[in-house]
Amino acid sequence: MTGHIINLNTYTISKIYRRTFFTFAGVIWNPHSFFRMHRFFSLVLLLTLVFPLASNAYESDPIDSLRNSLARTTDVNERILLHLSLFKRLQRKAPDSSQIHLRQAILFSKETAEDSILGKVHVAQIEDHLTNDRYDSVFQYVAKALDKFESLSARDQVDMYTMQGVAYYYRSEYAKAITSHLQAEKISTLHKMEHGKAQVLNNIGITYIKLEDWTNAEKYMVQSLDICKKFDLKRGISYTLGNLGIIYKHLGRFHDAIDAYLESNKVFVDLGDERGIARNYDNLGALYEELKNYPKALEFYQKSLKKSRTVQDQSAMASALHNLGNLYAKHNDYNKAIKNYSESLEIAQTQDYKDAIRNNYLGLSEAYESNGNLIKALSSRKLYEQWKDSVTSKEHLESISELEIKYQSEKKEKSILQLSEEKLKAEVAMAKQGMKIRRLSVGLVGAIIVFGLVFVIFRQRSKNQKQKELIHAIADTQHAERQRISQDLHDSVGGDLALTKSKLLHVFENSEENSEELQDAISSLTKTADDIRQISHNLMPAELVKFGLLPAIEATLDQLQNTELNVQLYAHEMDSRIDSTKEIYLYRIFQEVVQNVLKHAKASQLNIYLNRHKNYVNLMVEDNGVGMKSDSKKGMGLANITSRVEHLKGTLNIDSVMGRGTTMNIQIPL
Amino acid sequence: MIRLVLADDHVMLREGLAAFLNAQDNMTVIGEASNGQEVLELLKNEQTDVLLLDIEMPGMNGFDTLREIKKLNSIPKILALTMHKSPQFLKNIFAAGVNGYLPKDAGRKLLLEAIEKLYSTGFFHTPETMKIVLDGLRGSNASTVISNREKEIIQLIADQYTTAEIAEKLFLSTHTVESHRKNILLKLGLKNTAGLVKYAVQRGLI
Repeated sequence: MTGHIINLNTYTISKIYRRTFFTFAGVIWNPHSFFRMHRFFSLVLLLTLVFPLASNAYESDPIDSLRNSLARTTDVNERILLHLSLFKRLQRKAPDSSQIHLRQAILFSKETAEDSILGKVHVAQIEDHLTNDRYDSVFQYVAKALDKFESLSARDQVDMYTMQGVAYYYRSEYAKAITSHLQAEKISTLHKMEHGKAQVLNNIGITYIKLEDWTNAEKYMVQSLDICKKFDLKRGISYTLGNLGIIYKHLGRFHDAIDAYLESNKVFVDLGDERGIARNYDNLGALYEELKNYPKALEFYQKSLKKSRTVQDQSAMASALHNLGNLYAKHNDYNKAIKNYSESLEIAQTQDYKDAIRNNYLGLSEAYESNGNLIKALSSRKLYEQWKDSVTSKEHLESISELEIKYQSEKKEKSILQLSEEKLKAEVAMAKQGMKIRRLSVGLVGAIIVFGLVFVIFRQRSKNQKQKELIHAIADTQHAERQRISQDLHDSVGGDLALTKSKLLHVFENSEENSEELQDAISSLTKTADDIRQISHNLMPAELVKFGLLPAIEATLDQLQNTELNVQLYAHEMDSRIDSTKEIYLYRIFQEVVQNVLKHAKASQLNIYLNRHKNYVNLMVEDNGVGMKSDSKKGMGLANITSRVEHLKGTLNIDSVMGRGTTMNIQIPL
Repeated sequence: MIRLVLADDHVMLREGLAAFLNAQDNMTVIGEASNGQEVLELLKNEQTDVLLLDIEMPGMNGFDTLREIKKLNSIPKILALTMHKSPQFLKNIFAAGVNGYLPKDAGRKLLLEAIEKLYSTGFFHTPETMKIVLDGLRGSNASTVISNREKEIIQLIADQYTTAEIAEKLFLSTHTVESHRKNILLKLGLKNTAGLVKYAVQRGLI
């Protein structure tokens, strides 16, 4: 029973609206115009091919055989597949019993866990909803089928996308429709399904019809027809022939068109496809209308209406009614026209056929106008304008052409793949360049580090500079403080001691008896006063503050007068004062040098030179002592001298030969 | 009557002194001052014979005050009172124009003597100040003359020794020799070595 697996392709419904002519654009309607132009938009049904490619073991079997198999099998999956096959086989001949089989399949599907079976059930449900114009349900089941997409067969995938596209198409959402069709095309090309391609080519042809590109429409439609003939796809042949009829009509080839319709109808009759026949009748009517053969047109429209009413083909009914309305309007039978338009509009509104809604509003507005019912005419016209925008907006058409470009570009993918090898090579080159960039980056980072270090060093230097300045500030403060303490000791304490001594002397002078105790007190007091004076002098010699460097040095040297050391001071141009800080520092340097000589040199002669030059002061101290050892240069005294000379940015030079004395040569800039 | 002005910021000392001096038959203290400014005001308004001036007053110090007093029409005899005893100090005090000097711890007997001497003769000197004056006559210990070392160097320069040769000969660095040479030129007011040689010849140094 399952031995012969034949891919039998059954064709389901197909329908499409289209306008017969498009001269309305840009014409402003004026209800009071004496020269009224009647525009009639005949609705023409396109035959969209939907190939339910789904194949299962039972499709080719006769219906009775399938029913027998169903009675015998207990396997759930098998039963589902059998029900689905029966659903398809009986769809046109016995829609009611077809529905029963579908419901059975859905019922059994709850007992199976096999995704591929569930997918098949979903695809069948999509087909059912599409046939019955329930587009929202179509989209809902497409979404469900997409969940099981991986387990769907290629044929189911193509069917699903095609039906989705058709549903969008009926909704006048052409951009989405084309996207779906292109998906179907992709899959059928991938799996080398020629008949799938025929379907897609047919749908693309219809798109071109929508775009009024008749040449391309014919090209695609003929391609589709060739494939259908090659594989003897009868339904395909009849559908594409029907669509070619529309194309020929627009190309002005009316006889070709009539031939195509009649040929198509023959096949439909063979197939028992009432829907297809209804559509062809409608289109033939439109053709005769174009040829101004109105009786013939009326005849075919009425035939179409009758047939579509029998099979309840909503879109065909809407179309036939609309076209009849047009025809009545042309014969000035406005009441009949309005009746037909209204009926067509009603169907179009329930089914959401945007094209039909729009065109019926236009027909109604013109019929009402001619009938003298201007208010109704105006309201219909307004509604027409509203719907017109929703269907023919510029962006809408633009998005379609964008999709066309996308489709063309996908064809180029292969050649792009070939280029990918070259791309790999380029990437290697890029990587090499990347290395170069990395090396450069490392260099750059290095440079930044160097700059950073330089910056840090400079900052450290300036920090050191600030530290030096701070030390100087501290030194200056110290000097000021010493001076104050020195002066306070000398003048205040010293003054009090002096007063006391003066009074004691007065007492001593006036007393008759020679008191030894009083004399002791006076000499003790004198000693204390002298000590205070000495401390004050060491802190800060008053001579230095009041009279300058030379008097201070002279005062200090005076204290050495009664020692073994013979001191000689040579001074030149030192009578005027110099900067007080320099005086103090030079005095302290002098003190240190003399202290050094007294402590270490064992000298008998000390010569001090103090000469004021134009830009500097030169202080030279030479002794005839034992000389300095080179390692003694690190003594505290010498360190003090060095730091003070540095502070004044001066130079220090020490000439010392063992046994031949030492000369300290200091130069301080002014 | 000897008209006196006392200038000292030490109030105790000043008032004690004023009481003591007023007690004398031939003396009267006509004003007291604690700073240089007050001294100048008193001297401008009062005919003063002798001013007892403390050199270490705050604000306008003794030396500044002395300079201003010298600008007045009528200048009294001035006796400087100070704690300082160093020759440099005394030299500077006399240079500023005082007529006599006494250390602050001097006895009152000596003070009266000093005032009377100043009033009558215009000057007063203690043995200490006399010594300083005599030392001054002997010359300052800060000599402006050429030292022996400098003479050596002049001689060697005149003998056409280079700085390096002189340095080697005298166990000095060239730096020090160069400093000496510059000092010599400065002190003798000469521009260059040629002038130095000429000077040496004229002075019979060579």
